[in-house]
Amino acid sequence: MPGLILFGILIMLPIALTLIYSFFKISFLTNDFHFIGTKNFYKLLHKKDFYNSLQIVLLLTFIAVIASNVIGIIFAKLLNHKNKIFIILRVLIFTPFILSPIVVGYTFSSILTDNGILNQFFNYFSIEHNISWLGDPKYALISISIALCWQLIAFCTVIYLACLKNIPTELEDAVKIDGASGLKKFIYLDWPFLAPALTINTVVILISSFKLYDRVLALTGGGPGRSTETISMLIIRTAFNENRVGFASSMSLILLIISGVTTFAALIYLGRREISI
Amino acid sequence: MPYKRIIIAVVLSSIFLFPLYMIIINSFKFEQEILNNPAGLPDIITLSNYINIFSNSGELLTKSFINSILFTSFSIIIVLQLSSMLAFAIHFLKYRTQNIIFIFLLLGLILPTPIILIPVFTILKFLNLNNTFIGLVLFFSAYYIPFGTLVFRGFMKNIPKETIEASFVDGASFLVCYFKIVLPLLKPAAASVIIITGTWVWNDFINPLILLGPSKGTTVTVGLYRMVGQYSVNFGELFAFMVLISLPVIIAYLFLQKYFIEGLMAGSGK
Repeated sequence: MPGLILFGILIMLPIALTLIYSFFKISFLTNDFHFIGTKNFYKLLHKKDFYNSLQIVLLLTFIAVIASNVIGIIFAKLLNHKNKIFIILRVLIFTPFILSPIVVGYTFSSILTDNGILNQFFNYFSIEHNISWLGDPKYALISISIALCWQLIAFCTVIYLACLKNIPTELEDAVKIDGASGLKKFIYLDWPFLAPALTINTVVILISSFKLYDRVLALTGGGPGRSTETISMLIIRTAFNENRVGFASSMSLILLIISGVTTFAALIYLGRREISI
Repeated sequence: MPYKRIIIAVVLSSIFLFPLYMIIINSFKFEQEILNNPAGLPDIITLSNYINIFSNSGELLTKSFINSILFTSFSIIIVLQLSSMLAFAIHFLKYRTQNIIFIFLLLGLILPTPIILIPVFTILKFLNLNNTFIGLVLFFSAYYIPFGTLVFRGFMKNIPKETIEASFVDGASFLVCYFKIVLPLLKPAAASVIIITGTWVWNDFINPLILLGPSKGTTVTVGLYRMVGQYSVNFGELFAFMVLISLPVIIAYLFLQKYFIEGLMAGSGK
């Protein structure tokens, strides 16, 4: 099985090496490589940038999970109709997801920069508050989460739609005859059928948020200051710009544990829930 | 007729898709018009932005395109071959061994790549493959094998066991069975893997940026990043470049959208 060998060498071995590297002091420039025990982790405890990045990523993940799922369900319910217009909209609504994240980043940066399209729009209606969407730390995070959710909503909508299609028409008719409508119909009929989609969507959102890099690079470059620097950016900067490879590996290891535990927990919890309802 | 519903759906979708509309429409406008009237249709349709990027950064653009086409096609071929074989081979293992392999594959599937880029960089350096075409293709292939395998397995479940067993009784060898019986039945799965893996490899930015080295190689995404960094681009040229590099994936999606969504569902173990 050559597939497993390739996977082993370039994916599993690197995971093991990340663990090993995090106990070493390594430099790509001087080929320095020596054991320093848990010093990297000790340094990490006092690294403000790391806490900052961790906080940013967790916050963005939380926003993305809630917003993308909720808006995805609303879009899916709205577009779940046989009319031709809805079929066209269903195809179009997925397109943001197939764009490259860096393209999405530059797209939103052209909309949101100081003399970008959004502020031009405000000027046009002579609304006199030029908000610096990318230059103000408060708004920069909101801007990034919009760019992130834009793609994820597209994905969630399509997956929810695929699950809504599985609801048998007889069941839907029966519910209609029983007189259930609106919220009640949603809770008892749609929600159980949407459970598998919730699992897939949540896991995909978690993965995308934890590796968040390209969009932020294009939007703010991590700034202003370090106020929007994600962990992935911090790792790459520490390893390849500051050449502190071992230290960067210790951050990778922490991120690996956090993302692994969160994703597997979501997978198991939501997976069980699917069966019980 | 649900007119109210149609109106709401169209309005909300238009707002949602506005950024997409904006890139496309503004790539055909002169710079002054983009700034004055960013949302409207162009007064005069111009191709000047497209002509400008060809004359200003034509080499970067063509090189990026050729590289991305090569990276994407080679990665797709390797992923297709290796993951379909892996899915087929796993079929014959004991249930417990199957599960162990799947847990590892799942770990690979949920792994954010920035975590392993440092060791991948050193391994490729050790193999003398850093900053090379082969190195990046191998990494892409390894990274997407878990996804490919899960999709193929999802479709393989639908092949009746008797079909495979019967071919063995007839004296077919393992490989003959794989090529003659199983592979033809996996065509829809292959279409899904091609379109999805292709899109991901084409769109990837951070992996080629790091693994191809800071100054040497380029792909469409890295090319976009370089162009913004090196030349003073105006909005129109930026949009034109983004339209050009997104067009192949969008066209592929429109033709194969059925496989795209089926593959995503199958790959997530449903």
